[in-house]
Amino acid sequence: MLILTRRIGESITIGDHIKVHVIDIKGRQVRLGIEAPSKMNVHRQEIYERILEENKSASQIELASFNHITKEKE
Amino acid sequence: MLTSRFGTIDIEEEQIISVPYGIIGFPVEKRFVLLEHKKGSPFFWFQSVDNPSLAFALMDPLLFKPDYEIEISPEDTVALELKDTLEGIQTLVIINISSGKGMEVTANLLGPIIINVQNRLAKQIVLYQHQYSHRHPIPLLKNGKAP
Repeated sequence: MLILTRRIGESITIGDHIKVHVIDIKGRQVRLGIEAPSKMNVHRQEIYERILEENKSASQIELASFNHITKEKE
Repeated sequence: MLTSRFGTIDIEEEQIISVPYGIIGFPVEKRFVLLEHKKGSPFFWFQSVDNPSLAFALMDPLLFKPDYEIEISPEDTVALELKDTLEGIQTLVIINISSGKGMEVTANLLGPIIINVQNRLAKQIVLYQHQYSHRHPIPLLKNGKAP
């Protein structure tokens, strides 16, 4: 992993199209500004993973158990 | 078209909804169809056209959470080719059944699926500005109808 030290107001560039700016630092929190093409999805890691795990779980639902839980008869 | 849950179903080309970014965690499947669970049922299935076993149960969140609000970011507005505001879009949330103690039906309010009905483009967006749960419990459903 590449580790860089940056100050408030400084940035890093990733490739030709992505810039990450350090906007502010307060205690243990960092505010980042991210410039990326609209085709790139930028997500907060833990929230993205929460949705990913939930999607994977939801994709496993069987029709029978779905019908059962929604009290519908086949 | 072959599906693992619904057998063989007939679909028209114009029914196909394009999901260019895929559903989060499923980047390969980019074409889906929206199927009614049953006539008059509040549920839909978002069935992958290219993967017979991939389908998500969906529901209109307003049926059980009338104050549900979505805000579509400028990036997602571009991705969905939305003209302005929320006209001509359909918002659906993914339903899951958690098999912990007792079976519970939950909805992912954090990552709804937005469909641009006009051009049949869809995307799963993430609502960062709200404190919505990815496992919002839905009160027990009776006869497939929302309470």
